[in-house]
Amino acid sequence: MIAMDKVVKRYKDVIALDHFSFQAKENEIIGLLGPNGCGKTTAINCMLSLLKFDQGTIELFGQPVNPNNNKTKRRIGIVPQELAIFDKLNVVENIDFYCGLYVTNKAERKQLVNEAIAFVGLEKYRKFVPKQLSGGLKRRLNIACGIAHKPEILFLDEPTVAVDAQSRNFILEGVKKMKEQGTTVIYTTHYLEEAEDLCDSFVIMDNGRNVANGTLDELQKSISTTESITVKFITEDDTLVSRLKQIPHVNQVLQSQDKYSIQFEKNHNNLANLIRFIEDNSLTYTEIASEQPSLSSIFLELTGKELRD
Amino acid sequence: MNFLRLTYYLLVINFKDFGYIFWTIGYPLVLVTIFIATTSNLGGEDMTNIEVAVTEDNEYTEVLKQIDFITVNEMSDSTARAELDAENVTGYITEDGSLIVQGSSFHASVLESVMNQIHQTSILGVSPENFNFEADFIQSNDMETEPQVVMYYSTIAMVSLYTVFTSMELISSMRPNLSTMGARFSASPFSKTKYILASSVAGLFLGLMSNAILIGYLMIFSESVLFNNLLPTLGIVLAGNIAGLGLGFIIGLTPRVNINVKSVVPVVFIVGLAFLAGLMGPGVRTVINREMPLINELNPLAHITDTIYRVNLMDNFESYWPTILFLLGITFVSFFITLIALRRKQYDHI
Repeated sequence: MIAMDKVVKRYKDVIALDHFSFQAKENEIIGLLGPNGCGKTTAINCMLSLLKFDQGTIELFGQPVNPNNNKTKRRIGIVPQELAIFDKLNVVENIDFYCGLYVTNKAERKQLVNEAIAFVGLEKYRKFVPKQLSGGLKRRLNIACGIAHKPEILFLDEPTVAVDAQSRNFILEGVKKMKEQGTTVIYTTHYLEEAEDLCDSFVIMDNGRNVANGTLDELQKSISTTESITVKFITEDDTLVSRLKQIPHVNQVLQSQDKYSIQFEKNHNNLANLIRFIEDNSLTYTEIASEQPSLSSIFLELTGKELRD
Repeated sequence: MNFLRLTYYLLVINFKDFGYIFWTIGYPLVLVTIFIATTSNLGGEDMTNIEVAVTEDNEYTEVLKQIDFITVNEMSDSTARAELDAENVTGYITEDGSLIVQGSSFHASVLESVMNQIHQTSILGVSPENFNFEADFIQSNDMETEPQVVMYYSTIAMVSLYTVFTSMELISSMRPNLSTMGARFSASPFSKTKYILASSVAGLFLGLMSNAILIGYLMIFSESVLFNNLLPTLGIVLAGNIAGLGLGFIIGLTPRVNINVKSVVPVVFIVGLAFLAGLMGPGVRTVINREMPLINELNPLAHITDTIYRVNLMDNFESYWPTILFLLGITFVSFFITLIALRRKQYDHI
């Protein structure tokens, strides 16, 4: 549905997109992840044919992007990072205005506007102008303006920034519902937990490059991070930490009350080695779990930095 | 969305904007109210026998002699200055038409108004020799000749060009490098031509409404009879509004300037044009026309002011159609540039 191939975008001496490639299939939510300034919004603007790019190709629905291709534009929705709503128009009018850029039939538009209002939960605020809405409700209105015409591809650029928990949940549930209805969503964020919960696959960006992409499982398998096993022991043995470190391939042991987090080198039958150690030392435990690396640790490993840096 | 619906939304967006309403309707009304208030007592005092000194062979002598309430005294420069110092004359008019007065007084103000009027009329192509202060065309049309009428007409001309604000904002709102709404608009399949036309209709409606309110206000509250030929005046105002739209589109096209910063551009632009056209007093206009005549030849606001003046005060339609064509020419060029600039536009930066 979307194919970007080796796209290069330069702002004078700064390379915003450095041979950036990625593909999106139909009906999936793709998380475009990266720190501020990594090129996420530039990539979206290139896909929307708002920005010129220097090299590479971009195809939407199998056709090269082109600012004059109205057939393709008709199938796309955009929710920009900043609010893009008219202060002087009320909720219904704002959504109707933007929906009207795509849909000419008045009756059809009215129905779509009502559906969008219900979708984002603004039924009680139909006649409110933006200044009467809270930050979260404004964000919901911003989303409604982008989705009312039922796009097949939706670009959501950091939709949950500065949003209260209730509105954030509402937005995330809404995005999932859109996917259920057949929409492909390109979702940019730097909230990794949110992306982990929401997205089917990920593109990790850094300095305009695609550092890694795939499902969470694929990303976890692709990186050479350590394996972490957590155990809750019933013991008052002060030497346990040093004894745990003697297990083969253990790099580090972190203790927090009765919980011990043991970091192993990967791919060495670590769980079996640990259980053998417990049996040999007649230790009692209440919980044992092997933890997969989170998106945060994957990101850290791939880019060498925290996402919120 | 059909054309009418879009126009309706664009009207609502502007009409609910307090800043827009204040600057396009409130501010001109305040301005002309001040003009009316400060000049309304000109006729309240006795205007007889204002003694004026002029140099011998002064080209303004004949004109001044025809004014009933002015007594002209020809004398040398040194005598005139001595008479002025002794307060035997209200003012002294030098060879180049400059007026020197001793302090401020009602008679001095009247004299200044008269000289301004003479200069203003002279600029419009009537030579001082042929100019009769109580000329037939004035009396027959029951028109007033106070210099403030130039200010009223300049204000009307200024408001005519206020459509600059509407079109500039609307063109900016459809450009992704200037607003997020522009990103939404540009990513949509909506016709840019349709949007520009709807913006123009909305802008024109609001502009004409502002002008109508101002003209109505002046007709009711001004002591002067300003609109002897109202319909042709409205024609000029309409052409001015259309030209304002075009100029606003051009300003809106200027790259990568924030809309808030950009809003200052038309303010400076219009106030500047109004200043040059005589809004702050006909004297400025006189100096500009004498020193840099090309400026006001290119100044649409000066053209509108002049034409309204000629049409209403002199019953002279000589410059009417050239002015209309000049304004429509500005419009045509502006719209053409705008459409070319926005067609298939992609940006290097957003």
